[in-house]
Amino acid sequence: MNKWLTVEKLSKNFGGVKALDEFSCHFEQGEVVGLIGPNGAGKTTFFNVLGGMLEADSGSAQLNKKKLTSIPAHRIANMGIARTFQKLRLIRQVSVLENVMLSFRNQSGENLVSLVIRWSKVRTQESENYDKALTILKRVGLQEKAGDLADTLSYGQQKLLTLACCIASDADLLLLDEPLAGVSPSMIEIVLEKLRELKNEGKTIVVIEHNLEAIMDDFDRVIFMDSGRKICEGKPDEIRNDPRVIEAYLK
Amino acid sequence: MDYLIHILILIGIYVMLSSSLNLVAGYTGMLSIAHAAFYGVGAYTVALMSLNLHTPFLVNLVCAIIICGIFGAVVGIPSLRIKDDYFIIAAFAFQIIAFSVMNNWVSFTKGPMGLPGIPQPNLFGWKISSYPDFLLLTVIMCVVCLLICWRITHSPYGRVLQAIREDETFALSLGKNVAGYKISVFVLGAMLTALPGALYTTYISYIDPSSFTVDESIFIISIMIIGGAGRLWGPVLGAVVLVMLPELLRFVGMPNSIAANMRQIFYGGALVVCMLWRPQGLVGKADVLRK
Ligand SMILES: Nc1ncnc2c1ncn2[C@@H]1O[C@H](COP(=O)(O)OP(=O)(O)O)[C@@H](O)[C@H]1O
Ligand SMILES: [Mg+2]
Repeated sequence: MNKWLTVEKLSKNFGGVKALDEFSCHFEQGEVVGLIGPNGAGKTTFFNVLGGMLEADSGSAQLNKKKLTSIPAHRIANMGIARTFQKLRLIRQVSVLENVMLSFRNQSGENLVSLVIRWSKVRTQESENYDKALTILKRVGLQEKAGDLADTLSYGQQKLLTLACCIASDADLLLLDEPLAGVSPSMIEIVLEKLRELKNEGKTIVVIEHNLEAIMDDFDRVIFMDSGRKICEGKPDEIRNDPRVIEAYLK
Repeated sequence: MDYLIHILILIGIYVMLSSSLNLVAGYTGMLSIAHAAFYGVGAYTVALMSLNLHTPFLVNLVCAIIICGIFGAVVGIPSLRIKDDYFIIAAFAFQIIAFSVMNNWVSFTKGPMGLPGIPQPNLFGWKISSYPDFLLLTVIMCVVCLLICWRITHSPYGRVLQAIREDETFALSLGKNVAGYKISVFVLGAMLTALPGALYTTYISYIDPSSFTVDESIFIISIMIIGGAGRLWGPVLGAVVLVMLPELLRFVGMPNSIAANMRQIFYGGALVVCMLWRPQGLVGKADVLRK
């Protein structure tokens, strides 16, 4: 087993609810994998456990042979994992640009000591990051909104901004929780285009999504889960025609 | 004239107290009720050192900064690593404990009788004794304090503080060590209280525990909220308004016994008005009490 990211028998209970029930899977570098399943299947919980926002009851996850489970969330993020949230999270009371600038990792100005003794380095890095942030905003088409409060963006633009934050993090693994939900058809095209760009850059992307018509063909592989368990996985066409998947979506 | 300078010095003291609290509560969203206790720790450190060890002012000030920082770490590290609820309780407990130590450890702090005769500061041969001298020292300290606050809040570090106030989970997902930031800013806020602590001690030349009560903490919080939490100039404006207005009451000829009660009513009233009509404070945008 030399997969890039391996997940073995992760379990997570909420009271009596088995949100994750010995869930196992693996991901190769550069893949775009769809994680699908009915509401309450445990998809978001999987992201939360992987990202360290929730502690698993049992099981393990490893990125590049480094253990992820039982490591604090911020350290997992710094190992090269970025994520978006189903219930959109942004800092709404600061500007769009500042949200992106916040997302760069390892900034020397985020350390009190370097703030005092390496002020000039902090300043240089800050002005470099400023330019980088503008470039990223241009890339997702939000450059004109750079100075606006994040709160004033439309829902679709806010989703693009969360994507911009992921880009700024320079993470290798992106976990996207329903990036298309609630987004207008024209905006969906933009988001998908950005996903393809990121894939071409070699990012590994795991996408939770219900809007299968729009996104299915962009997946290299699809994992179908229900009741905290992996039911089946395969190429998009195999999953589309799998009777278990059809049944779950019809019931 | 001396009276006016006295008021300006008091304003300066409260500018420093509420600005340092603003880093912790206004920018980071951790409403600490222990600020007067740290202020007291700084003040007592300077007083006891200059009375017992006869060390120079600058040495006393540096020691006070360090000791305030240590107490900040003792309160912050265990509680901020768990949950906000524990922090609120830990800060409150520290406020209560610090006050009772000042009040009851009579052999060390002279208890409620207080410490009289604290020597005036001497900075590199500059003997600070007249009102204008103290005003100059106040201005210098305020500038230093506000410069520190400015640099911190207008930096990547300060950006993370605001992110933590708005959404901790998001900050975590961006790789920010939320607990580390909370602890460091809390320790820093505690260290900064040593400046007004040292100033007050040497200026009044007498301290007793009654200056460092929960009421005083609430007063500092009121200044920050009414002025505008999460804004650099908020606490400055808040300090001017809240220190000056009661003096104005006295000016219109209200007897002292009534004025004391009026002050309490005034602070309470100002807070209520602020909560209702301007929760972001006079110049502010952050709503610390929303959480
Ligand atoms: N923090 C939580 N506390 C209690 N139950 C939760 C929590 N998060 C998720 N659950 C439950 O776990 C199950 C899986 O939820 P979730 O992972 O959000 O599903 P999905 O994202 O696939 O729709 C659901 O039954 C949900 O009610
Ligand atoms: Mg979900």
